[in-house]
Amino acid sequence: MKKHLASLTLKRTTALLQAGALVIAAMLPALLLSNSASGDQLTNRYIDMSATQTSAGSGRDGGDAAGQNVTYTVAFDLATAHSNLEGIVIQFCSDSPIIGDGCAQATGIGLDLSSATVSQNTLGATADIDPSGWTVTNGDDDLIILDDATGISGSVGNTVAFDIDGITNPTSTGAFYARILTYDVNTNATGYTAGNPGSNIDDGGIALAVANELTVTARVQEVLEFCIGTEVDSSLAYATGEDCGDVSGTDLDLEVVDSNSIATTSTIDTPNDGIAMIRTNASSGAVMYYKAEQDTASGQLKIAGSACSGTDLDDPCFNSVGTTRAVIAAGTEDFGLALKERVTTTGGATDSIVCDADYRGDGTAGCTGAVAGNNYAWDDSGAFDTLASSSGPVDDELVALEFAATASPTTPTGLYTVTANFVTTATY
Amino acid sequence: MSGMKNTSKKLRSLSAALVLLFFGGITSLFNSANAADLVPRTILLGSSYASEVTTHTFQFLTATPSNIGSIQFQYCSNSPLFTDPCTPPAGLDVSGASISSQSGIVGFGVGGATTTSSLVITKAPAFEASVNVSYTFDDITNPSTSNSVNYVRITTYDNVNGTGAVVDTGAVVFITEDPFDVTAYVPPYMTFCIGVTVAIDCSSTVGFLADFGEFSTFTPSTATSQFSVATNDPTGYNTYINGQTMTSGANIIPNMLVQSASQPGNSQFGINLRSNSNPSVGSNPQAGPVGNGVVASNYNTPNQFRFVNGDRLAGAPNSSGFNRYTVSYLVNISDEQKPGVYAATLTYTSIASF
Repeated sequence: MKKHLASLTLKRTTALLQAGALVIAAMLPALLLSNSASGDQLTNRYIDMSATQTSAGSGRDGGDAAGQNVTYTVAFDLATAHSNLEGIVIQFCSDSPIIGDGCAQATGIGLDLSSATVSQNTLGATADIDPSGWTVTNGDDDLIILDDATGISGSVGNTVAFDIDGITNPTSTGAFYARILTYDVNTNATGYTAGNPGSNIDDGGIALAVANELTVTARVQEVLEFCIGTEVDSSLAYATGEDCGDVSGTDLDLEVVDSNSIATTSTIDTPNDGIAMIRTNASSGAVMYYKAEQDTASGQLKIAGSACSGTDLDDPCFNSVGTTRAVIAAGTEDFGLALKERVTTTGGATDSIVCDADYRGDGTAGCTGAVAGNNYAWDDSGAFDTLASSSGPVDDELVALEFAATASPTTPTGLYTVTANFVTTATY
Repeated sequence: MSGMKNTSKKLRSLSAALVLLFFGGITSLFNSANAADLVPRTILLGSSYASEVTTHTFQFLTATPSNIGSIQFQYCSNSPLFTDPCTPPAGLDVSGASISSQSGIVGFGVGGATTTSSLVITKAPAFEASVNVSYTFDDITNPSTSNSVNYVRITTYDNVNGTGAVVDTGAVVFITEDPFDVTAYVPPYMTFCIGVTVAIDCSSTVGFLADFGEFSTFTPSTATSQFSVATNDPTGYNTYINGQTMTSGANIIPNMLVQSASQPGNSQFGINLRSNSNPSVGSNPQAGPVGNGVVASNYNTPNQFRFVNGDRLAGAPNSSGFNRYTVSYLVNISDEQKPGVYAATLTYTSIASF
């Protein structure tokens, strides 16, 4: 019986202890809060990170500087009137923002405050309270304490703002936390520890996170478009958007050439200048060449299959101007080519092509004008000769090719022709 | 127990396979990750015509100092990207290519790994610094499609015949083009002009009337006119004169039927095409470039004159540049010559047969 009573007593005792535990458990948050904070939660609080990349694989190991030397901009509004704000504590923890909880220091995830300094930020310049000039205590323990024995009075809603510079972000992705506490006694702030934060006024937690950088890679392939055709293609209007699809034809006709005048592909009854258009993304540019195909050992304008005899005026071959730009005079047998009326508006992105000095119709490198002074050149040797070039990318720039010829009184009658091979080479 | 042994062997084999796969993957990544771009790089074609057998010249700067044992030139019609599959250009054939010149890194020969669309040159592997190189290959058949864009992927390897680690890469582009023709037609032509004076190239003429003034029985009366002729007729030209001697109504001044000297006091009318001293009149023919006309013999003797209707005055045996002829007219009269205003209309005709 006694044993039974004793047992009952024990049960009651257990029940009382259980009830007490429940009461204590119910009160614990209040007790903890009472222990950790005497004021309210800081409002409008945030930490703005100038970079959110991790510091892993960068900066410290010789890579780029991502996640290094980051600035954390700290700002908050006071929730309680401070008769004399003398201390601010910011602690970074990897596990919890709750004031008074144990703090798994963020150094464990690589956060490094050892080189951190505090400075005024642009927000701080207009903030109500700028503590950037206060004494800063920091180390590699994820804790920054700002204190000033003189302090400053703070009203409810006053904004406090400052920068923490020189921070190295955590090395791994994920969240971490900051605890911010304000004190009206600076020694309470300097005596802060995570488990015993001391008597503070306001406080608040902030969650932060670092993330991997998203690297997007792409490869732009080598581009070269070159076309040679004729101007009579009615779809080519020299307008934006024109491209090689608007250039066609491989034959030009100078029509009737006699000794009384200079026939040009621009001025004959049916003008039909040649058109060359280039597009390339080659960083070192492009060069447009031509060579006169050798027919019976020369690349002169000739009656097909005819042998030419030097500069004779009565052989079935037009004399060529040569590789140096020179004037063609009516009646003095000659054949030549000049570039003219270069247009950049078809592509619009570049103004790159420079006409070779021997083929500039208007005498300028840009060769945007008409042929002036009947200056032409023609290399009949069969070697490639440069017509135009660029030192960088070309966006659908086109240039007209004007051919010209005049006969001597003795140039034999007949149909004359010459074939040219145009090549553009891009250097990437 | 036996089953456990088998399981253990299988696990070891699997582990070995995994290890090989792992390191194989690493090697592959290493190769591609460390290949640098060949910059600058370019290709120059000996001809851009489709299906033409021609030369291809490659020039580039090797980027990575490394052992070099071979270089591959892989031709693709679809993409320059090394990560893409390569579609060989239709008609292209590099299998018969030979190296006609090489500079920079030398000692290469065409390798056995060469195919129709992939040209591999190879040599004994050796360390090479970063250097500008140039290789010209003969006997490459261009792709058969005109106006086609074609890519060449260039890869340098540290071992022979396109084997070993990739050292550097880069792609170039070339385009096949159609032949571009320029034509012109030179018609048969003859340029002929006449006047009191004419430019040798017929660019100007002045007057059509030669005035002798008043005839004298003591001194010869003279006048001149000019004509100029050129033709590209390979058989040349002939110039004729047509007309009658000078007349005044029924009165005439007799024309000189044979070449004769001037005889003042005797009525006579004649011409020639030479410079004369008795009387002093006329000029010798002048020739422009390639002017090879000559005066007909009946009118080619100084101080000897003649006029016969329909006579040939001058001509060229083949195509000729301009020749300018000066016609000298001579008139003498006798005491019996009837007074009056004498005139003659003369027509000059130049003919080329073509």
